[in-house]
Amino acid sequence: MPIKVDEYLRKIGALNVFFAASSIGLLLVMGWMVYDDYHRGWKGYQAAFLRLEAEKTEAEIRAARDAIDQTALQSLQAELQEARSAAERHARDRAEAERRIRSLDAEHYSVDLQYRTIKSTYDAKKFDFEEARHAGARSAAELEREMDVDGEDLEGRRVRLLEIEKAQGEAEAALRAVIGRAEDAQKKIHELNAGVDRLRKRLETVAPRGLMRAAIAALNAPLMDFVAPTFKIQQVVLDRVPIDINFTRIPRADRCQTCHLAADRAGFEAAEQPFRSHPRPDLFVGGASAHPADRFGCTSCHAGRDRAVDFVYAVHNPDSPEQKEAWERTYGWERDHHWEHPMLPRSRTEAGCLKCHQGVAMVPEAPSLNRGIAIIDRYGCFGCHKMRGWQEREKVGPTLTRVASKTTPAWLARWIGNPKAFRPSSRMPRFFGLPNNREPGDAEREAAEIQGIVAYLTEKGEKVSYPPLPGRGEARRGERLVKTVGCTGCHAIEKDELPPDVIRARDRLEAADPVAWERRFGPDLSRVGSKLRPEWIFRWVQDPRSYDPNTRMPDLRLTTREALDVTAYLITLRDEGDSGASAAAPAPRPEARDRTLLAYLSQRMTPEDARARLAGMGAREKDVLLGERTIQRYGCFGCHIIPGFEKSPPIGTDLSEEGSKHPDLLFFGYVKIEHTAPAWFYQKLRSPRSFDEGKVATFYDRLRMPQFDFTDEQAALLTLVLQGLTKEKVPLESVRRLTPRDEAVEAGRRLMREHNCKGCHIVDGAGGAIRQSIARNLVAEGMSEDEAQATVAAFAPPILEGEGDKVQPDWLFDFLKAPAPIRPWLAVRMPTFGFSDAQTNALVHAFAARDNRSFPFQTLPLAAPRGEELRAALRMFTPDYFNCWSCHQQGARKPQGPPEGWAPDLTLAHRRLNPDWIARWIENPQALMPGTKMPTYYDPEDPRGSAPPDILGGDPQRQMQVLRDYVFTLGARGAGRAGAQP
Amino acid sequence: MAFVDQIKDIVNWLSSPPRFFLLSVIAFFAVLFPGELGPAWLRRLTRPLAAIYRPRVAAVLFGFLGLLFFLSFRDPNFLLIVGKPDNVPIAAMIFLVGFFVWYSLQQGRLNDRLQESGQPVVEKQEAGDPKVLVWPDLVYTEFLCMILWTVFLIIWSIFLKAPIEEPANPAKTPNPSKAPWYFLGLQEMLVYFDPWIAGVLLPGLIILGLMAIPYFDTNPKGNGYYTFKERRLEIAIFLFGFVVLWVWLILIGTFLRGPNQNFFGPYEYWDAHKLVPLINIEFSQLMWVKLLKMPLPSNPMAREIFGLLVVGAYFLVLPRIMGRFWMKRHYEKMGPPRFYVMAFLLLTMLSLPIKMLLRWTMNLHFLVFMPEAFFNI
Repeated sequence: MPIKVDEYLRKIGALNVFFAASSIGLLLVMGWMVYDDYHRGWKGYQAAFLRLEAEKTEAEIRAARDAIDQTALQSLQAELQEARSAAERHARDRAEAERRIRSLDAEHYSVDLQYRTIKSTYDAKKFDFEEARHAGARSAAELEREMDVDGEDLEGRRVRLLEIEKAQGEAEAALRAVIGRAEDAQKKIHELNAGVDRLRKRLETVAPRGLMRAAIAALNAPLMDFVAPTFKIQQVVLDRVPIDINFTRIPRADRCQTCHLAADRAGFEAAEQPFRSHPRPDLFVGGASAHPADRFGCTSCHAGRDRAVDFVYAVHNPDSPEQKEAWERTYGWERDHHWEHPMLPRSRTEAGCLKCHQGVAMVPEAPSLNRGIAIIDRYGCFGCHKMRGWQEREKVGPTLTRVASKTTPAWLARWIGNPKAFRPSSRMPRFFGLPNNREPGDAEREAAEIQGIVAYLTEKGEKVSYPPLPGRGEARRGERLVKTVGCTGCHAIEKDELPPDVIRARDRLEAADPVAWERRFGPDLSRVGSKLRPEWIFRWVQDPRSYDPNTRMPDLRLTTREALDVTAYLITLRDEGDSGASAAAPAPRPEARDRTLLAYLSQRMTPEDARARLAGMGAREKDVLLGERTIQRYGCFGCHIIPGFEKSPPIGTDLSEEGSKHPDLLFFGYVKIEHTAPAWFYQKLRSPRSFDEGKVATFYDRLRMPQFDFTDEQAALLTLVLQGLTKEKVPLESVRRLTPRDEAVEAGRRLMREHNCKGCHIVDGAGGAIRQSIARNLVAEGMSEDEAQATVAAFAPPILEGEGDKVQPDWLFDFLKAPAPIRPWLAVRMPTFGFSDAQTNALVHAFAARDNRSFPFQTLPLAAPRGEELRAALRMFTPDYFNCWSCHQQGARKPQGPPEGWAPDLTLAHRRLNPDWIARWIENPQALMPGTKMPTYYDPEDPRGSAPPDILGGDPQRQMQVLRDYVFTLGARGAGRAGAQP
Repeated sequence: MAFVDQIKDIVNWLSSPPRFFLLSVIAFFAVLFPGELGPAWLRRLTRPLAAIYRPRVAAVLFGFLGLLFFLSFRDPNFLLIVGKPDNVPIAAMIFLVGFFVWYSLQQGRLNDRLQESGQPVVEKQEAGDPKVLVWPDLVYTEFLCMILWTVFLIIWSIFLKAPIEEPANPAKTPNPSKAPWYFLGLQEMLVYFDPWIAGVLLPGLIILGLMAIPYFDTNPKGNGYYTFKERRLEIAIFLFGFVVLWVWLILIGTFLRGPNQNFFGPYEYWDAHKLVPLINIEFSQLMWVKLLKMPLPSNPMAREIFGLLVVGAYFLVLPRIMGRFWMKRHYEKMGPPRFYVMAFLLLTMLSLPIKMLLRWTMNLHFLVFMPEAFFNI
């Protein structure tokens, strides 16, 4: 039934208009949606990179063109011209040859076609015949005949084909006779232009032109780009360094190179990010490096969201407030709290090393990380905190079992109250008088606690008394000994060494400690006289192990006389401000002590019981109990061996996975810092108790971490290490596994760090800290600063780079067990460390492994020189030639001149040195030990020219060999060694 | 600024759950029945509220609320929570639900007035005679709405990104952990009831109850047109269940429940370290220990006897009283079987606000607490 328009409720015309408008709106919005989906930041970067690459390629083309030898090109072009006009003269021959080639080609094509046709029928017939014959069919004979006919036909064509090919060869030779020269010239021109042509081709793909450009634009157009776009997400899928998404591990899919397009390419070192080349292609990303991108990707080290292709979503992490601000402006950066592995800021990238390079003393090429690790080793964080990679370490503080025999209770109280007040460079942190204990009554409570600790240590420790000194030493001689014999490799005496303003700036943490890190291994001796009892010093410097069997203080083999002198000197090193007990805090009132002890006891028992227990105790007993509770609360046993606390577990948080800790699990309190874990770590390290600020807590519940006075830099380095201690589990195949050689080196490195070898020796490219103090001695003796620096090497302990290459393992073992002087002119002594056999072996092995020498045994295939060779050797030793004895000692015979010009005793060489090393040493000493005084006799560029011509026919190799063999016969010749008989 | 801060403090103070809930219930009934409930003074007091059903007054009120809402975006804490992409639709829901509830009630009252004066209802007037055609009057306009709605959704999806968070971690759940918005009402119930009631029984009863409505409510009036007067109780019960016990709980769960499921005012910072006292008192402790000064009996049945009696009385005795006194008219109209089923469902619904009030006022944990049998009410 038709309905009239005016019967509708609504106006149809208006609805139609409305419909049209909304449909157009929908279309536009759809377009917008497609554009929004299409328009991605990374496409912009890829386009920008193509432009950059085009510019670069164009520049390279210009450079390549300029590099072409123009004269060569011109002569080739002239030759081409000439050859072409020569060919022109034989145009008829050329046309004839070309015509013949064409007709031969045609014939070859047709015969070849026939051949292949017949071949297929022949093969089929052959099969039929074979089947028929096998089945014994009667048709076999007929089939064989047919097959043979085809076979003959086939053979005819094959022969014909060979004939044609031969004729083709002749025709081509005829053609070449005419135009060959021109072709050669053309080819040479191409070769000359090859570089430019290659670059041009690259430019064509990078910046196509004309139709190609339009085609590529079409491929990348919206809605077309599903086919084969050139703008593509670049990714590497890495299942060997997976991502833990809590329920399972999934392969990492790093898409960083979608924007960081030049990360794996050289030549973009100066480009703006994201197009910069990786700064260390030798170590990372590069295919030949230790961490190629196709195995490790990017985020396994840098962290960040692997699958993201957007600046913010990749969780880039700014390195400084300025960078943060710049990123907020440029990229709309904001912190993404939803990704648990935010990218490591640039300065802390090394934290990423730790998850694979675990538990090693040193990660190669990671200087910041190594310094952070060294700080942890030195300050002993692992005493209170369990830390992966630092299990089973020795405690870093001195053993306190016999401390009462070493110093006075008054000094102990003063020290515990504030170690830095007595010795600002001390590693011992401050526990008392910190900002979270400054309420009324806190000072007195802490004084009672300190008194308790002192009482506990005195009461519970071993009672040892030392006999009086056997005589009187002379302080001046003692000072000379302390400053020359080697003490200063581990100990500084900063009040002698540094101007007061430098010390003050260091104390206020405004400047780094100017004393070398290694020389802070032992305590600074500046005020040691105010601390130690003379009898104790005398005993200690002579035989440290008798006081503490685990001490790392070595024995410098001081005589009684020397020990007395040293004692006399050290006693003079007093604290100027030390007027006895006045420096110590006043003793707390007994009520304060009782109140504090009551508070401790009431944690576990009713106040009544606690009071009853206190009532039955004497004052001393109360002090000791309070001391025990205080030591328990502050965990002093984390660093010190304290009687009664040998088995106590560490009191701090486990830090093994601290780097993965979510900031929600950290208490920021009222401290105004960014709510990120690294910011919290840094704050905690700088000011450990600041998070108590504004909180209400009884003293028992307040934060206990002591104040270490780390500098900004140290706190940043420690934060870096903490960030590296993540819970990420890397599959074994990707973890750095040490080879047996690396393990030996590693074990040696650890021993050397534990015994501070770098305090005296340069090894692993660092150390030799004692030179600081030796140079000072030289200046004191009247040298200028520059002179002292120039000669200090002559008085310094030897450099140990290449030591494994240089010396024989047997000798090194013996030497480490019982050092005997090699360089008698040195005042500084190699101490006796009292290494166990295992430790000594480990050290010798480490030196051998470091230089890829065999360990422990080796043959010495040598024959003593005789006759002409012996005469040649003796002649080369004379002043006319190398004049060896002018510097080298020969047993008891010393060279002339000042001792700093002397060189080691050659009569020891046969037992000490590796023979091949001696030869290489003579050949080029500077190559083995840059800066050595040993003269270079053979010019490394021209050994034959610089060798003495009149010895052994001027053959440098033979000369060196003879010298070496002769050196090996010096001293206790042979001593039963194979091949070394006289 | 101090003035604004004071207002914010007042709003935060009013947003504490017991206050906010009581205010909401009072406002709900006052607006639904302006000048109609309670003693004479209360009627006089609430009568002016009827003005809200005048479109102009309502427009001003909505405008004012919207203005307040948008001004609140100047507060960083408010913006942080309300401005989250996944909370935007819930914020919109406040206004949408408000508007449509208002619109239906306003139309119902309009029709009531028309019918009182003997005129046909609005729907009748609009439709005319013959009736309105499905095509084009209905389908065409629906189609247009569909197109415009698609346009709106696309624009929304361009501007607000999908709120994707970190990979799920069983060792570290998000704080607060929240259900999807449409389940936040259920999650809120978990605060007051044992999971088997809040998560299984009550949702089941909600569905059963909705299915049962046609069998309880056989009143044919109101079909095809809005009305209020002809179905006052039915509308009141439904709207109480829907607006107060469902939508309101979703809003609470979205905007006021912060870390650790603590309550936060709309202008308050969601501090994960905020501590509020959490005390659980069992009804049995209240009766035995506090009232009778006796230790708890070891037999669970004996221990929980008071709770069981209260719950039994609530579901068994109360319906009878309702039928005899308060809802006599309905009892007579529906007959005992239907009335008692209806009464059970109604009481179950009302048990939620009752339990909430007990929880807030007395820290009451459970009326019946029998962990031995996994039975807690």
